Amino acid sequence: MPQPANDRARQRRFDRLVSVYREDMYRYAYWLSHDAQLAQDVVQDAMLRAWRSLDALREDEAAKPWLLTIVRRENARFFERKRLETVDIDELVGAPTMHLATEHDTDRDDLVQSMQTLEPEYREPLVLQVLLGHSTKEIAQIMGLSDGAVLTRLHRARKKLIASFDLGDPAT
Amino acid sequence: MNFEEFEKRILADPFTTDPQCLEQAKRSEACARLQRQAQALDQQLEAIMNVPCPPELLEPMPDMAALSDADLDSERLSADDNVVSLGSIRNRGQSGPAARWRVPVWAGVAASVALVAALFLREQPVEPVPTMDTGNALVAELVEHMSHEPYAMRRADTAVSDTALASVLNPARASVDEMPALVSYARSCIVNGRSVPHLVVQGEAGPVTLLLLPDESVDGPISIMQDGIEGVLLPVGNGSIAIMGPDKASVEAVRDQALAGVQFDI
Repeated sequence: MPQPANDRARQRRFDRLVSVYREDMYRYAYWLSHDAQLAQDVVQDAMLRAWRSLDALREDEAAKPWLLTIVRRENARFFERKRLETVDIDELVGAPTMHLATEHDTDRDDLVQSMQTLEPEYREPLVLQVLLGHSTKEIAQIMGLSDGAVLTRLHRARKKLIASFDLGDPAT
Repeated sequence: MNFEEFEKRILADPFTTDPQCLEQAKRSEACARLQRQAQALDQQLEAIMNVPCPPELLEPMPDMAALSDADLDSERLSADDNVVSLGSIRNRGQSGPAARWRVPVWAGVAASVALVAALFLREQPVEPVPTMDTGNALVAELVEHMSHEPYAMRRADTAVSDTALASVLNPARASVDEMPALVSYARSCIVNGRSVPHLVVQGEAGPVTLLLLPDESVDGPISIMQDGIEGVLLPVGNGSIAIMGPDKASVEAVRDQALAGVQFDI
């Protein structure tokens, strides 16, 4: 049966927005859960939810934070729904990762491990800033925090990572 | 500003352009060292965060419009794990998607005609015609977009992979013969309702943003001076390219080479 014109237009809009941002959605989901399969499920669920509430998105330019917010909520719903069992952190750190590194790189491995063990409240704003390029204000909106709280978390996140590498005290 | 205050600010944003922080880094070697450490850390972080996306998620979208909300609800509720996969929807015989996602534009499509910007630009005046700051809706859109991804505009010495670059350029029917400088950032973004490649190149005078706009035609060069951003919007083929940076020098350092290398396939 042929689609009504408004359905086709809606589909085109959805395709355009999601095709642009789905890799960002996946990477964000991955670093929220650091589980590749779970991230994929979360993104698929988020896409469905985005489709259903597409009309609520008034401006396409706001699509990226809108989609990331949906991913964030889906991730939370997923954990709530599945009542995921606690994962042993040693097991998680030792699990194979999907990073792009093709050669053994100890520093890189250490950094991956540090990122995986960083508390989620610190890891998440870092991903939104470093990987997804968001401003403090946008991170605050996505995470439901004040600008000041975001800056504090970013500062603490990097401080923890630098400390974990024992890079020495820059002040001395 | 003492070291503690500097540390608080620089670890919240190692690529800050806050004049106070920049001045402090010049005055204090310890502050400069911390800034370098934090910037190096961010470059490493970006590299490890850029995990590859599973191919399944990159497949064309199923025909969502053909699925009623009831279908989605019933499938969601019937699934054991409460998650309905797009793959399962696709397998129900829904029609496929827009083939444009699969078109290998990077290598050039045989049926397409490449408009080489360098040739086109020989007929164009390169010096921009100054315009009213707020006189152009497209310019306003471009500047507005820059404010959404400020963190892209940072000094970096790590290049994005060719694959990542191609994945951004291909859907926009754009290609670049030779980049003017190292490309440190490549994303598809929505500007003026269209998906466009957003690149950041590390020019000699600092990072510069290139927004390739295959569907936005302009009659001639338009200068951009808004919200602390300087740049130029130049016609390329049937589209245009926006080159923007913090000052005129950084833009001019990459402008000509960027223009000569960019082409849109039609």
